[in-house]
Amino acid sequence: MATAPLVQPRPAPGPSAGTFIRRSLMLNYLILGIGAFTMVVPFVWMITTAFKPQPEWITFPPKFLPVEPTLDNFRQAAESLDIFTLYRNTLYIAFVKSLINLYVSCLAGYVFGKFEFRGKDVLFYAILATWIIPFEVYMIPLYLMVNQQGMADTRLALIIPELSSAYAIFMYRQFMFTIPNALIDAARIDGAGEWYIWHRIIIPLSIPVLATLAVFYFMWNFNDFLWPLIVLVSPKKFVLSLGLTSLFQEKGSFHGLIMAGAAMASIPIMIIFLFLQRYITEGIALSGMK
Amino acid sequence: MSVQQGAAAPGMSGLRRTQLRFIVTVLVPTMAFFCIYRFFPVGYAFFISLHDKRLLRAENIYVGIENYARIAADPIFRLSIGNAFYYAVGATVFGVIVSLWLTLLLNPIRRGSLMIRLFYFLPQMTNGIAVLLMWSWLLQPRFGLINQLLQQAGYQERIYFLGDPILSMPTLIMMSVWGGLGFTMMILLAGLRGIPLEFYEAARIDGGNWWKVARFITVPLMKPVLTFVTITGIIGGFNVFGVIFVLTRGGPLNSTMTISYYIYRTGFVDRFLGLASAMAFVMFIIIIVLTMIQLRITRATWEF
Repeated sequence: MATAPLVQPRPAPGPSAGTFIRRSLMLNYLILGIGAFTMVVPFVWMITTAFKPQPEWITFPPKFLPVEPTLDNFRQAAESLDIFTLYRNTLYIAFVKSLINLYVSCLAGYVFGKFEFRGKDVLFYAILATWIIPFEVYMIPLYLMVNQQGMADTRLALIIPELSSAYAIFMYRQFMFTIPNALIDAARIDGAGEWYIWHRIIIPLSIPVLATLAVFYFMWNFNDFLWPLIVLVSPKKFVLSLGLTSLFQEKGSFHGLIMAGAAMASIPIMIIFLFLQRYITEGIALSGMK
Repeated sequence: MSVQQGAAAPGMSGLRRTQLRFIVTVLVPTMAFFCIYRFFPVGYAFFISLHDKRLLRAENIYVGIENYARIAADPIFRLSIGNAFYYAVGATVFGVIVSLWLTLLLNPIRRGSLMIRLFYFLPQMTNGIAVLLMWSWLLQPRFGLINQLLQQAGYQERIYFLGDPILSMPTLIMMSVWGGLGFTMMILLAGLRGIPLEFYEAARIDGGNWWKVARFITVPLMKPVLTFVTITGIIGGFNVFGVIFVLTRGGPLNSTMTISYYIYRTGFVDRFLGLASAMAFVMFIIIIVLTMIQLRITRATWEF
């Protein structure tokens, strides 16, 4: 592997830093470029297939672009896939779940990070321990409980069991260590109440970490599959993952139609995440280094 | 709010009281949540695992450890654990190696680095099921892009990627590696940027080439991060479900039957909740052991 040496120093902060591509890096760009190409091609293929009429996607050799582009696949997919309802359900649940979970978890993370009281460690480690419980262990009791409480086939059943999470509590507590105690004490001496401090000082100070956690939770909740699969029965309440799955089970051999459905379910959200990618990058650095 | 000013003892106790009220208001609901929706269900699951409990049937019949005895004798259950390990270890180890290689290539790059990372992150930034359906089309034996390209390259035989018991699992592993590259690369990149530059300076003075630097400096110094992504990857991959449910349903010939999917099928398709709970507990024990290994290793490695 004759690639550029790792030993090259990081560029000094200056106008000339990184303004030219060193020839020794060409191979790096080439290999990474081939990799990036294989990341994109499947998506492009999905989109072009979605615009092809059936005779075109079974021709050999395959043509990359549709010769006679058609919207038929999208029209047919829209007949069996109520894409707007699916998006509304998915976004609603992902938003509500992420927001409540974040507020509740971070509040607890703040208490664990910034207050001293008896039994703190015991409570904190008890919560932390729930992190390793596989979902498979408690999904059956949870399902029975949800049924008993009359929440079967409701959005509430998707939201309530996720009101708080060990992961967010842990992450937020870690972040709390970077906020000086003096700041909170000063506010107290000025007569600020505890809720005032939380809402007006702590939350504004932690906007970056909150945004990162929010994007992450949104991403996970958007892809939630097993629990909605167990709980939701009526198609009107389905989330995108379930809608796509049932479309695939019904019309699996109509590849153009399936690709149209997949494109409708994936491209809009991809564009949203492209705008949010800064928070994703930061979040991964944050969670990876812990 | 009766917060008194000054540092005198009575003032502090007033301050203390409002704080205590805040702590209680926050933690009582939090702990109640974790008790009701985490600790209680685990206990309940253990209770169910000792009973012949069926879905849509009210009575529970106590059977002791019979469910555990049944799964111990069930060859498909053992196979499903083996398959889950196969998937988890295969996807993680292969994924980490490829990601590490790409990250080492990416690290010296300044221009376009963010752009490149975004490309690799595309599969994460969208709906996971849509990505699976996309793959099922790419891998389609007759008209799928991959088989068509192979045919054009002169390989005439059709490859049934998901229909062949030997190829099915490696195919799922490849899909997983493809989808996870961006995520692993970002974690590794963060770890790489944390290595002090002096190490590289020293290597440069000593005249180390690319391979030697990677082999003797970068990889050993990244050991904590590499261990982290490997073990969390294995734990995460062990409960693979979605891809199995959508693409293979455990087949062909149980070659992709993993424990998570087997639990789901036993509990919610075959309706044996007691049996499924017993399986889930075995899975729990495996996860606990893996987590303990993780804690042991990450604590033992040297942090700089």
